Amino acid sequence: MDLLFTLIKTGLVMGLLYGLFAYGLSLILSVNKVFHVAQGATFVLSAYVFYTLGTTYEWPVVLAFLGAIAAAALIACAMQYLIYVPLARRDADPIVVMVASLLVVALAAYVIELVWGASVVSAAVPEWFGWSTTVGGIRVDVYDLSVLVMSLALFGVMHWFLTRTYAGLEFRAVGDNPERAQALAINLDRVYLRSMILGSVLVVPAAVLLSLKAPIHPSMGFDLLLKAVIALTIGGMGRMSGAMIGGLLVGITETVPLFWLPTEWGEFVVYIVAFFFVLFRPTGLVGSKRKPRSAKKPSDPPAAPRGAASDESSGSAMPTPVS
Amino acid sequence: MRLIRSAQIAAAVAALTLATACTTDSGGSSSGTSDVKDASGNATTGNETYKLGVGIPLTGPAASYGEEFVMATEDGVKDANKKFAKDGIKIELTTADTQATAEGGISAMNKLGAVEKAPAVLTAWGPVVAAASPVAEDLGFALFNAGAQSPALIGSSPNLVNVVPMNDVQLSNFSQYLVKTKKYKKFAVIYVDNETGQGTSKAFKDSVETLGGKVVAQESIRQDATDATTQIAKVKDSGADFIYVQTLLVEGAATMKAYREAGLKTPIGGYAGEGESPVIRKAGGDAMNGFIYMSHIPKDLDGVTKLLDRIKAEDPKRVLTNASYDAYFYSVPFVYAEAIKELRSQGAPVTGENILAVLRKKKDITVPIVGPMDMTNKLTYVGPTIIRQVNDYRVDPMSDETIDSVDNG
Repeated sequence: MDLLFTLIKTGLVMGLLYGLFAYGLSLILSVNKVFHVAQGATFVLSAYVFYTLGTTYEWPVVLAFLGAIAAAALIACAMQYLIYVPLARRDADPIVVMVASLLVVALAAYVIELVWGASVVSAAVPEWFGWSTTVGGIRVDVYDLSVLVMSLALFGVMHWFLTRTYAGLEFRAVGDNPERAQALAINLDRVYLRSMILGSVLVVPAAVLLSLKAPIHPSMGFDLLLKAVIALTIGGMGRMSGAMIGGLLVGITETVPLFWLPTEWGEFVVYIVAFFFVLFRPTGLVGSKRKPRSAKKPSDPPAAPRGAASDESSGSAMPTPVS
Repeated sequence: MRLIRSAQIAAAVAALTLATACTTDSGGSSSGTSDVKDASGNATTGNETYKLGVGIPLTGPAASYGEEFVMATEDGVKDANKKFAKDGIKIELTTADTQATAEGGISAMNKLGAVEKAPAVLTAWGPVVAAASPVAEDLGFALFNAGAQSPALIGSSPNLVNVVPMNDVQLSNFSQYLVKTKKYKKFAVIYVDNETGQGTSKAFKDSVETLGGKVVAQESIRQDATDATTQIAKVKDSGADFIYVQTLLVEGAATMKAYREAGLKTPIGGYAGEGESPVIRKAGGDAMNGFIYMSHIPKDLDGVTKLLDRIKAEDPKRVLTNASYDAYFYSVPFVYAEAIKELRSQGAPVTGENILAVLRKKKDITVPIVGPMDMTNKLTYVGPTIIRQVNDYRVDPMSDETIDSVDNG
């Protein structure tokens, strides 16, 4: 039974990490209506910034972490002003916006190779990070606890932010109906920028924790990005709770069946489950039902997925933000 | 999953190969004959430059390996050009990025073979070598493999020259040591889920079971995976006496980290790519001490050390990860120059076919560091197997202890 419990614990930790990665994606998707796959670039770049500050310059972990957050915020600003805003001005198709976002991920790998080199590097790990204990025969270490605490804390903070603060309500209002929000004197550009920054910063804890656990390399974000997207598909697009529940389900589905199956079948099971959701519950576990297509009037304006401003009510199939 | 991936790769390779056949002008053919063609009998005396293509990952996760291999090859070219200057031979390198993938390999081979018209191309990585072989046959160049060690590659193409010792002999020697000397009976294998990992895992199983051992667990790990807790937990559950690991860098580090964290006391080992990697050694920490690995490092350890020092001097920031492999990349320009010298002496054109014809017959090629290289049997070099042990993971891998060696020559 030790093996089963170990697999369950591993699945939970991995699932929470996928959820951590997916929080930012989910927020940006719900507010900006952009499937921000460039989050993978933010993830890996912030990991390298953390490595540079913490290992090359030997800054304390906390300062290196803050530096990575600052870097993620800057990257978010750059993406918003250099990619999404120009594409929105040109009224780009949503698929073009996603392709641009995808290109950023590929480009980032080359930028990293130019700046840091192609070598795999390891971040300096503080001694306290190696602490571990055994609970019921299962090893639990600082990494496991950090992922758990960070995931739950960020979920709580984001729930509070989105439901209890004015800025959070602005996020929800813009995500729900940008035209109406604008009519209420909410500055859309400001909200889009803030959402992009916050969503990007949300990926930093996952990047830092993974940097402390595994070697860093230019394409390290791809796998997590894929799993985070699957987590959102299963959990429900554009919802923080969907990101967390979806992440946990992906983690558990990936590991627990390996008690009975060979290890190479873990991902296969995940893809089968994801496929099931795509076919039979495309809104995910906590997603709300879409409006029927027939509800769209011919006079409705065309979908305006401008990378920064779109509206579910205007025909876009993007989700409404719910914390 | 493995079947699906294999089918996908096979389909991609087949499609790209077909596309290659349809879109490139085939300058040669793969006859596999052993005679030098079009020899005039009058020795060539003028100075000439000969291209040596290098198809290696220059981007992507394997680029750090690739850059080091290119540096070793460049040093080999410099030294070979000095040695063979009196013979009028000058080798010029031309590189292309394979990204260590089958698709990238085919693209790189087309560039080097069809555009650059290199008579010989040096490469590595199992998927790349497998995908590049049909291109080499189609375009008629000699394909030197200095890194992929899957036994399945031996004799798989008439144009493929394996200049690095292959895993069949290495695994046989290593298994002999584990079963007969160390008396281990039950084995577990953790392997990277690619062609090389799968092939080596199977070869290891066959090898130990032939000797009376038993493989009780075979667990795969995805390339670049960052967590191997599941694999280690399953291996622990299997009750194996020894764990054999055949992975690449990132998932190798994850495996050794998980092994350390699980507090496993089961002896563990692998191949040189694991044992010599500073990243994996650091991830494993104290648990890495006692790690037994089979190495194909040439016996001239001083020569290898000098080569590594030279690469470090050229790029002081570089952390070297391929001590065992670098010498073989370094040796290829010498092998190539020896073959060219032979062809020039016969007045024969330097083509891929003729290079291969020379290597099929010439038993007396000797290169620096590696020493004598006889590739007349299936164009494959059979080198020594050295079994080494990490005693202190923090020291240079060159300082690891040699605990056994088999001279397969």
